[in-house]
Amino acid sequence: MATLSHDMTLDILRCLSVNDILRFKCVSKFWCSWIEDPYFIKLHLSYSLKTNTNRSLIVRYCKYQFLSVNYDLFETTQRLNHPFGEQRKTLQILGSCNGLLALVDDKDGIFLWNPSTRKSQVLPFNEIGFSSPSSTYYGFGYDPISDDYKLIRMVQSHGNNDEYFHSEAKVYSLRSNCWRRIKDVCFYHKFSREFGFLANNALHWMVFKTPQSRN
Amino acid sequence: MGSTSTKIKLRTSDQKVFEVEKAVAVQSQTIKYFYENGSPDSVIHVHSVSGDILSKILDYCKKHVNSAAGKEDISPEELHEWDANFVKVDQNTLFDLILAANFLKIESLLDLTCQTVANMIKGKRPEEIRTTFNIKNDYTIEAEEAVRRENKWAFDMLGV
Repeated sequence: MATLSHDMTLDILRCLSVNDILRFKCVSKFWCSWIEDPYFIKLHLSYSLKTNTNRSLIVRYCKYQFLSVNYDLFETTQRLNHPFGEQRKTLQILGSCNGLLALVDDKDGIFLWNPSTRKSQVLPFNEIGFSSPSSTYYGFGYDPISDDYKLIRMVQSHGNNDEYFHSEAKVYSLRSNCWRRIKDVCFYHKFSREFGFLANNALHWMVFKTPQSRN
Repeated sequence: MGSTSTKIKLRTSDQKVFEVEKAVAVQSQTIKYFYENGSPDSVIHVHSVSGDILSKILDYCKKHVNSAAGKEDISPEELHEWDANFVKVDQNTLFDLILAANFLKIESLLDLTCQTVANMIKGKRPEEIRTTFNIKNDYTIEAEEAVRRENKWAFDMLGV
C-alpha cells in the first residue's frame, strides 16, 4: 500500500473540517505535531478562504451564550460552551477576522477566542492614561505585513463644549502579547459601540473633525 | 492537428516517452519551468511519475485545456462530472496521482485528488485512519487519552 508522506498528508488534511483535524491529532504523534505546526494552520486557513469552506456564523444570544452555524452544513448548528466555562458573564464581540473573535466582558477584560478549536487567550490588562469619563472604541484584524493579529483600542474623552479633548490609542499584538501606545487619533469618534471595519487589511472608522484638526 | 503546434517530449520513471502538445504539458508548472529554462528540443525527465500515471494525468490536462479553450463543448457541470469519474480509482492509484500532481505542480489536480481522499476520511475515527493509511500508533495509552480528552467535543460530534 502506498504510504502518505508529510506533504501529501498536509495537502489532504487542509481539505478537512477543524473537527476532523482535531480528532485526527490522536492518529499518531507525527500527525499531531504536523497539525499543530503553524505552517499547517496557515495552509488550512488559506485553503478554506480559497474554497469558501469551514465558514461559520457565530451568533450571540441571551447575553452570554453563543451558537455556531455552519455554512456548509446547517444541521450541525451547535451551542458553544462559554469560553470561560459556565460563568455567566456578558460578552460583547469587538470584531472578527480569519475565524478569530475579539471579545470584551462586562469588566473590560478582553480576550481572543477561536470558536473552531475552542481555544482562547486573555489579553494583558492595560490601564487608561486619564481619569475623566471616556468612551472606548475597538478594532480587530490581521496585519499581513507583520503576520500578526492586532487589536486597536482608542479611548476618548471630551467635554460637552469641547473644552478639553483627551485621546489615547493603543495597539495589542498577539505575537508579542503586549500593548504599545501609538500616535493619538485627532478625530472624534461619536457613535458609541462602533467597531472598526476591516477591509483590504486595514481597519476603518467613521470619525469627525475636532476643533484642533479643523485648524 | 496543425503542423505549427509545438510538442514537448517527456520521459517517465519507467523510460516511456510521451510527445505532448505544449499547451497540455505546461499545465504542469514543473514542466513549464523545465521547458522555458532548457533547450526546446530536449526530453524532460519526469523521474517520479510512471507511464500509466502520466498517461492519466495528460488525459486530465487535455480535457481541461480543451474545455478552457472552447475546443470541446462541455458545460462546467459536465466537466465536474468528468472530474468525479476521473478520481474513481483504487487507493494506490489515487495516492500516485497525488504524488505526481504534487511533483508536476498541477494545482487543480492536486486539489481534486486531495479533496477525494479528504471525502473518504471525513467523519472517521482515528483508529480507522490508522488502518486506511497503515499508520503505526506511537502514543502510549495515557498520552492518547490526554489528546482525546483535550478534543473531546470533536469526538462527541460523531454522534456515536
